[in-house]
Amino acid sequence: MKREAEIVVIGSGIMGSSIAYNLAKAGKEVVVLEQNEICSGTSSATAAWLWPSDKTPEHYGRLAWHSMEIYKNLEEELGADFEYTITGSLELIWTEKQIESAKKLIELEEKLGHEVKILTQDETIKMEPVINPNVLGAIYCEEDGNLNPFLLVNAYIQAAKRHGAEINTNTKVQDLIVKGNSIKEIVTNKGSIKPGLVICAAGMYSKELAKKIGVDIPIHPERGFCLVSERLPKMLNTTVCGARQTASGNIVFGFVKDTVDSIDRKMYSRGMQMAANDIMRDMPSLGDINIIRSYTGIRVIPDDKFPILGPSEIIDNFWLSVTHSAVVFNCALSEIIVQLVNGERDTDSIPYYAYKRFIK
Amino acid sequence: MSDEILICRCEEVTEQEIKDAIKNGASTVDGVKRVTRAGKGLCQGRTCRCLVENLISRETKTPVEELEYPNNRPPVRVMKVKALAELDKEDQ
Repeated sequence: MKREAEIVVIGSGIMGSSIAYNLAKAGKEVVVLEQNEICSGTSSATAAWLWPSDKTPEHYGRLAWHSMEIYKNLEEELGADFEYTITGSLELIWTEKQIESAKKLIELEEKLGHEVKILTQDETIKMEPVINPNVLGAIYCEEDGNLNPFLLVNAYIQAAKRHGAEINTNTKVQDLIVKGNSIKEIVTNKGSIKPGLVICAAGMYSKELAKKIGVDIPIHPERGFCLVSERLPKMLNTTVCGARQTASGNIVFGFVKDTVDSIDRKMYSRGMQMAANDIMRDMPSLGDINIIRSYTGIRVIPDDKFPILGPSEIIDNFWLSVTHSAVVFNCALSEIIVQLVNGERDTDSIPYYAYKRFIK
Repeated sequence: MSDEILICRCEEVTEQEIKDAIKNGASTVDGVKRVTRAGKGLCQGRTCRCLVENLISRETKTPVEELEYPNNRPPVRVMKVKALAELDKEDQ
C-alpha cells in the first residue's frame, strides 16, 4: 500500500468506485481503502433499479436524468458489460391517491423533458401479464431500467486501476489522525497512509468514521429485504417497483422498508414474509416460484433525503459522498466531485447537497 | 486441472473465470461470487464452495482456514413464495 497519496477514497461501493475511477481518469493519484471486498456493503444488496423518473423535486430529478445521460456510454467507456438495460418501469397503482400524486410527477417530468404515463388496468396487464389483474393501473416511464451492481463496481474498479488507481481491499480504516484541522494520517490494519484529500464514501459506516474527527453526518439506516428466485424463463418485461428479472433470469423481489436503529443486516423471517406478501399482492401467479436466497440491505438515508457531497468544511481535507440511490446518481455525483476537486465549481453551486447546509 | 473445467455447475463458471476474478482482486468466496456468479445458483455454493476456497487459497497463498466464510442466508432449501408468505401462520 502506498504511504501517501493525493486522494484517498474510503469505500468501494458504487459511490466509492465511481469516484475513484473518475478522479483517476482526471489524472489524480487515487488510493482506495476498502474494509471488505469491492461492492460488499449496501451496494451488494441493491435491487439496482435505474429509476430516474420518480426523483423529485426538480433539482433532484434533473440530477438523476443527467446521471442517466452519462450511463448511456458508460459500458463502452469502461470496456465492460454490466447488464445495463432500459426496460421501462412500472409502479403499480392501488389507490386513487397515487393517481393524484402521479399527475404531479407527470407535470414535473414533462418540464424536465421526459414522459411519464398513467396506464390503465388493461394496458398494465398487457405490458406485464403476471401482474395482479385487480390493479388500478400503473405509472410507466419507458426510459427507466436496471443493471448489475457487482459488475458495475467491478468495471469502475478495473478501469480505475488501468488509470493508475491503487485499490486496497481487506483494509479497514481504524483511525484518522487530525493535526491543525486536517487529516494528516489514516491508520489502517495494513499500515498508515498520509492523504492529501480524503473522500468518505463508506456508506452506512460513514457516520461512525466521521464521528472520530468530530464531523456529524446526519444519516439514518433503513433496512430493505430482497428475495431471489431461481433462474426462470423470461416473464417480466419491465422493471416493476418491487420486482425485476435479471440478465441471468433470476427475479429479484423487494421493496420492503423497515426503519431500524442499527446497521445490522441479519435476516429476520418477518422480513422475508413481508417481501413474499408483497409478491402475492402484486403478482399472485408467481406464488409457486422457488426462492433460492434472501438478503437484506441497509439504505443510507440522509435526514433530508438528499446526497451529502463534497467538502465537510469542518475538517479541511475531509470530504463526503454519502447517499442512497447511488445506482442512479453516482455518475452525476462523481462528476461534481471531479469538478470540485479541480476548482471548476464550489459548494455554493450545490446548495442542496453540500454538507454545510446542515451547519446552521 | 484444465482451465475449462466447470467449478460451479449450477451457473457453469469455469476455473479460468474464477482465477481471473482472483487475479483482479477477489480474495474471498463471496468476492469471487459477486463477479463470477459462482455460488449464485440453485445449490447456493454447496457444491462449489470448497473448490472455490481451494482455488483462492492456492492463488493467494492463504491457508483455507484463514479465508472469510461466505455469508449464509435463509432459506436453507428452496422455498416457494407462497410458503414464505405464510411464515407467521406457522407460528400460530
